[in-house]
Amino acid sequence: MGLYHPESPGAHPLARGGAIGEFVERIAAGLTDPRRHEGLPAEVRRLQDRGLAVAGAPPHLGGELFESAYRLRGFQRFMADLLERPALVDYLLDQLTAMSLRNCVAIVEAGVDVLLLDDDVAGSHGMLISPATWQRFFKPRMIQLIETARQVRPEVRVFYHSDGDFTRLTPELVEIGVDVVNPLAPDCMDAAAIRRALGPRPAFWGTVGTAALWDTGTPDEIRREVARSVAEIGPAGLVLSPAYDVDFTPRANIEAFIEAVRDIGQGAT
Amino acid sequence: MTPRDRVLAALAGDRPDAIPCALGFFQQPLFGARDGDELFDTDVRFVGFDPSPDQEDFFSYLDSLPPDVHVGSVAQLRVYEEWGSTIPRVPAHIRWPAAAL
Repeated sequence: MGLYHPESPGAHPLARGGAIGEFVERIAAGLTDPRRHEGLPAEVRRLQDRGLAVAGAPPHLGGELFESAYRLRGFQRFMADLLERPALVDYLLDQLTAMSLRNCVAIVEAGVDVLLLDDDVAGSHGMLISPATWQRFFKPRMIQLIETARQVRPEVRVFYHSDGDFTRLTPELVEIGVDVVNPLAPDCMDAAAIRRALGPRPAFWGTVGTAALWDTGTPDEIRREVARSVAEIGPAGLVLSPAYDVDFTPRANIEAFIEAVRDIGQGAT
Repeated sequence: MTPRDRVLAALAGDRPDAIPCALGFFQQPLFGARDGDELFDTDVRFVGFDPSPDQEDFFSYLDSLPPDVHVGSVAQLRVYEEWGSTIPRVPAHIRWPAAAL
């Protein structure tokens, strides 16, 4: 018995369109409460004083726009909305965008080096929505978020995450100001081909390992995978990171990753 | 270069003196540590908003679950609960169906 699944009964608080207004009043007020980020500037400074890069994400339900919307409405319902109820989609996405704008400003004002934006718009074999649908509903709102962040601090770096294969979006992500994409899972995307096609922008954050490799592979296999990533994609414009969550990964494999980054990553530059 | 210098150089498409690394793109507890990136001394740390003060009851509920129940990241569960996107909480008599035997 699971506690949560995106398609569980009861998991879609906005399954009825009429509940959206109530959502804005009740949920968004808490999510934009300034008391929840009043300590952030000091925390960011403390970490940067240690010489560390600091990345921050606004609160979201899995992702800023597409993912939040479908988790609130239900996946099948929201996919139908995109075709049949564009006014409702626009209204819901406008509410999510307004909330994200406030929270992105708070994160960037706190001084983070990297603003983390996130929206899973792709599955393992390609986009979950067409590029035209992304351009109609999501691209303009992503532009709003990025341009607003850069008005606050022009030097902030913008990061974009989507699971799966979002290769078709990468040129447009660069166009709207994304600096770095993640995770470029090697069983979903060909990062080397994207690098050859687009050059040094966007930078890549991730690229290392399949889910199976992280959880069931050996430390030697992890080291070879780091070496492959550096050889094919690096050394410029690359932050090495597991391309999948590592919460079930053996400690030896994480240690092998860190050692390999230190050994191979230093030797490569 | 500091870790921060390396990350900023990499994100600008440049070639730092060593390739920087992270364990993901959000703070994740690993092997009993609150922050895996701190535990393994990577180049990045992740920050975000504090939890809602209204969620103390939910945290108490999570604390009440048996230690061998994997419920995922507490941070993620906190977000789902705050957005109202969660199934109803599991009553104790269903969580431990054989407790009364």
